[in-house]
Formats: sequence, structure tokens, C-alpha cells
Amino acid sequence: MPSTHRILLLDDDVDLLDRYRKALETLPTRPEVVTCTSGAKALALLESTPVALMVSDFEMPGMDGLQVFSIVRRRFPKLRYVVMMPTADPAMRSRAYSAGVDLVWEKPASDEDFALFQSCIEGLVDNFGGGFRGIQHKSLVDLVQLECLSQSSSVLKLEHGTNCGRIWINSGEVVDAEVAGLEGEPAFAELMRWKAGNFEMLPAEPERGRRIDVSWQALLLDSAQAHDEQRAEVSAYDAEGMRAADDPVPSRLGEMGTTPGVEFLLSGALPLVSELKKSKPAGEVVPGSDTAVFQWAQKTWGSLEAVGRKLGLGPLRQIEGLGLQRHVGMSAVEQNLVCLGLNRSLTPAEVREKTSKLSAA
Amino acid sequence: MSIFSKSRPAARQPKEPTLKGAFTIDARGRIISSTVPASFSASLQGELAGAVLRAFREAQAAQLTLTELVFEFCGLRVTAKEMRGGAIVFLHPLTQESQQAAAAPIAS
Repeated sequence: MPSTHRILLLDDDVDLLDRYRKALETLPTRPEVVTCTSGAKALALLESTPVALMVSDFEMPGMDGLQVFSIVRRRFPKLRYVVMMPTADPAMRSRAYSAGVDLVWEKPASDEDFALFQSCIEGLVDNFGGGFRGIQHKSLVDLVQLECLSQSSSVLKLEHGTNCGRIWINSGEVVDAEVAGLEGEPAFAELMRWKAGNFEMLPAEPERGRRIDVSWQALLLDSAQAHDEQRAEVSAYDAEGMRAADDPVPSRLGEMGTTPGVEFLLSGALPLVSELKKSKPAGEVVPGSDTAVFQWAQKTWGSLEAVGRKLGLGPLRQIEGLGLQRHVGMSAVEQNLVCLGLNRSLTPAEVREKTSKLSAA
Repeated sequence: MSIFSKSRPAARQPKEPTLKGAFTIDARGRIISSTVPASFSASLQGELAGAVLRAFREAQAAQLTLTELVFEFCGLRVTAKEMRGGAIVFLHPLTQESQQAAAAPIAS
């Protein structure tokens, strides 16, 4: 039995495990289904038995589904991982996708639900090694291209920071998009600016009216062009990995730097944990200078992100600092860390709002 | 049809966020008091406490005197208030509702 057709089921409920096993064994690819009742047993089995796909319960005594996943992802990075949630909990689902789980599925409660689940599992097993549209591994362009080339119909629900958007694809054509008050082509263009985030594939809405009339190839071409222009702007940043608000910045960040209450805007490369220890001693920069503030921002971001990862808190989204002379806000924008200096007259809620806007810029 | 659902009723209830509470740390990074659940062990609290104190001290060294720091992770907001070299740290789980409320525009 090739490992590409072997599924590992993990659940502490033996009866449920048996029912799932019987149902999945009837899939057209005829996968071999092995079962385990605890995370420890599953990890031991994975050491000796190649498996293509693992389907794990979320709530289990001892290690829960995400704890098992965190070990599996490190030891078996190619293994597809599906987590079964007992209820539709958006916060947990978001946390699971952020951790890199390939699919989060609410436990089927009806025949229809289970048929959908089976179909999805079949897709994961059947497409193993053939470029399945992995959640964390494909860009949005890749996703749209895959859907259109395969003449699929679906709705892509995309999340980026606090923003949420949708792209409607019917019979391989992009028919509509919506995000933040935009619709049609402008919305699609806006969504294609997002370089990271989470997405979910929702059932198709064939009745959705058409607000995008150009072909998907033309849409993607326009997006690629806009992307190239954006990269050209980015390459104009100074070589030291930091720039001040006077230097060229992407238009939206530039606008942010001139809004009331913003005293300065600093941006540079996101710190790597491995580089934190090699950072220059504080004595080499003038305290209070932009460089000193940005070095603090980079170090603090890197340090807290590392702690968050260790504690399983998910990715760091933003940092707000309230001070006596000024406030600061930090957020990751694409591959950069952006630090805002804010007037001390701003309220904590306004500091949060301005910092949140960074991630959407 | 519930054949594929878990029979345990508790499993069908929405899961309550568990990482919630506050702890205080002195200037040496020691935990003085804590209302955080035991699932968040003292050593993990210590890791977070160390990072918080470092952030405050290094900000001071950069002449950026901060009295409060808020770190937002995917499902948790950490609010740290500086207290005479130490700090009090609050942990707030982030739910979908709280995130939407936080993202709502502020009336001017």
C-alpha cells in the first residue's frame, strides 16, 4: 500500500474512530486507514509507518489536536493535517489555520456534511504530491489560477489581519469580489495585494451576479503588473533596512505617516530571532534617535514573537506602547516591521486603531 | 442524524477560552502573584514576564519611556503595565466578537 493512500485517524472516542475508518475506507482511492486513540501513539506510529494524511480530533485528553500537530509539522512537514472541531469556533479555527493546519472541519452532523467531508478527504489523498492547494504554501495568484484552470466553482473567503474579503469563481471565471466596501475589479485588485493571511474555500454560489467582466488571465496580469510596481518602490528603500517617513514608502504607508497624530513612521526588515543576539550594542546609536527607537522595535518584536511561538499563542499581530512623551505602534506589513510614533494626546483606543490600520496598509 | 457526532454532550458546547487572568512580576522578573490558570505554568509565565521587562527596560534605554505595552497575538491580548521596575500583566483571550469590536472605527 503506497503511503500516498494511507490515512491516520486520531480520536480518543473508539466508536467514532471505527465509524470514520469504515466510511473513509470506501473512498474511491481505497485508502488504507489506520487509527490511534492518543497523540503519543499516533506519533509513535508515524515514526514507523509512512502516512499521507492525518485526521485528528481537536479535543482529546493529554495532547490536543493542535499540540499533536505542532510536533507532526516539525517531524513530518509533508504530512497533510486535518483537524476536526466539535463546534464552529472561529477563534480556534483561525488559530489552527495560523498554525499551518491544512484543513479545519467541523465534525459532520448529517449525511450531507459527511459526504462533503469524504469528498474533501478524497481530494486531499488523491492530490497528494500533485500540488494540492495547500493553505500555507500557495499565493493567492496560485489559488485563483488553480480554481480557474480546473473550471471550478467556489467562493474564496480571505482574511488578512482584521480584514475579510471574498472572491466568487463560477465555472472557472472570476465573477465578483468584495472587500472593505469595494466590489468587482477594484476589490479583486485590493485582495491581490495581500501577501499573507488565511483562506477558506466555501461552497459555490452559482446565482452570484457578475460584476467582473474581464477574463481571469487579464485580472491576474494586472495584479502581476501592480505587484512589480510595488516591488520597484520597495527596492528604493535604503540599504540599511530602515527608512524614515521622508523616504519613499508605499503610498498607503506614506499616507499613514502624514495622518494627524502620527509623528514618525519607521520601517525595515522584520527581525530574525537568530539575528537578535548579534544586534549592535546600544552604545553605538544615539539614545532617542530614530535608529535607537527602531532597533528597540525590532528587538522587542523578535523577542515577543519568539515567546509567543514558544507559548503556542500564534503569530504576533501588533504591539502598542503607551508612553509619557509619545506612544508607539508596531505591526508587520508584508516582510517589514513598521513602527509608528504617535502623539501622546492620542487615547489608547486611537493608538490601537492606527496600529491596526498598518496591517491593512 | 448524529452518527458522526461525538456522544459526549460537553464536546458540543462552545469551548471557553482558558488563558485568562493576570500576574504581577517584580523588578527581578519573579512572579509575585497570579490568577492565571495552572495550565499556563509558572515557567511559561516567567518567559513572558522576562520578555515584558526587557521590552520596558530597553525602551527606557532608547529614551522611549513607556508605561504600558499591549501585545496582540492571534488569540490573546497581553497588556503589561509598568510598576516601579516590575509589571502587572493581564491576559485577555481574543474572541471573534472582541476582535470585531476592536476593529470598529472610533467616532471622532
